[in-house]
Amino acid sequence: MTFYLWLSAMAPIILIGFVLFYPAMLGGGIVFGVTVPLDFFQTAPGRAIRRNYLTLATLIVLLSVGAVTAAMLAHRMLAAHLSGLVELALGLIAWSGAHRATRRYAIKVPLVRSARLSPSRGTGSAIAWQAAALIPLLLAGAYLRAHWSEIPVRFPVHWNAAGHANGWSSRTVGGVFGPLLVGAATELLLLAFTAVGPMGRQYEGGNSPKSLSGTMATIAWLISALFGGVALLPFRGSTSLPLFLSLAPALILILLAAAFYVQMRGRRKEAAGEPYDGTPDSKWHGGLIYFNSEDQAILVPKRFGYGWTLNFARPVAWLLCALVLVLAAGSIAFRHSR
Amino acid sequence: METPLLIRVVLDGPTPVYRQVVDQIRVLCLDGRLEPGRKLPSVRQLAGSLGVHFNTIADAYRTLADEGWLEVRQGRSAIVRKRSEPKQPSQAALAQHGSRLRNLVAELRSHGFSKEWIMSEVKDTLEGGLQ
Repeated sequence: MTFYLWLSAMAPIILIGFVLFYPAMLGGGIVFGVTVPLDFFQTAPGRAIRRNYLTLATLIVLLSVGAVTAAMLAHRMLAAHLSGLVELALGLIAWSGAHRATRRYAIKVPLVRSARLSPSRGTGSAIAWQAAALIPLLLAGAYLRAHWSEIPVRFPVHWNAAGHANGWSSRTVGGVFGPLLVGAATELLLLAFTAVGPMGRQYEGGNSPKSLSGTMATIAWLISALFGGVALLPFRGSTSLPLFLSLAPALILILLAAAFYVQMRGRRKEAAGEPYDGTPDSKWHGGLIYFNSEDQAILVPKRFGYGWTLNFARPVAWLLCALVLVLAAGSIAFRHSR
Repeated sequence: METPLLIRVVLDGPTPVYRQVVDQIRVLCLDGRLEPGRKLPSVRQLAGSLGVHFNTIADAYRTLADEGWLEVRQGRSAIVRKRSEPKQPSQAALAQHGSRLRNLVAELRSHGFSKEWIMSEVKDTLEGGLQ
């Protein structure tokens, strides 16, 4: 069991490590959020910036792996997860330094954008698939309601590093239906992102918001299985950590790492045809946050990392952020109310 | 399976985006790559993808609809129409487009393009599908 927990703790480190090394894998075009010549890494300043960044990224990842291993050996799960956050913070500092250094070599290129001349077919069916993922949660809710009297008065909801229960909930509406509500709210948020998908930028490389909607549907079903399973845990006699729960975080992060790899491959292919993203550097804050009131797209490809980011000049982007915050605040309030 | 067709616009180029969209779709319709019955993205989708204002795409689609290339329905995808033989151009249209063509030839000549190159490009374009 400890092995699975260790894997769960290491997975974020591996994923963040991927993200940290990502800019160094780029060939040119947009580097550290800055538009530079395609042969930037063949120039002396480009090589120096990449070398410095790689050295720093290696040190950060090694330090984090050391910290998480020490924390796991001492059975300090919280410290193990915190080291991931520290790694992320250090990574942002490293990124910021490289971004500032690269900015001196920025160039201006024509703002070229491309789009497929076909309707975003598939979005409707992806939305239907995602919406269908709510059904298992509803069924689990109906089952819980029908077997209410069989639910123990007190049941485990949190486990320590050794897999023993250390957090309990009681047979109340919030305690029993809470996981289902959190799962449903998360899925509704994903649905909102899929719905605005067609309002995002598409590229020849195949990483369009349309292909993203398929991934979203898969994630929605995983969430459904996870939260539906958790909601039914009170019927389980044992208080030890179920195997599927200890594996779930690692599984989700492995999937994310795979998506990251696919995205990176897509970006390389995309860069072969169109190395720049059709957005001016001046509209990117720190190379990470996009704010362009002249751009109607809500989702635009990130300049760093994988996936899309929001165009914060669009009110819908703030609405989506507010939804995420409400969801996070709701989850915290729910945990404290028990 | 339909081949994915792309439209590419230069936002800070000398030609307005509206004109670039109209020109590219018209060429694709003329050379048969956009066959009748094929659905195009809705105004909202295409504007979102290119990150340009809805009105820019709406105006482009309207122009193409007026020319008989597209059928545009509110809130739905635009469809490429089977275009019947265009009617004879009016005198005004002949004068307007003749002037545009002369201006373009003059611009090309001033940029150093040879008469032979212009002739061969026009010939290739006409013979390559734009008939």
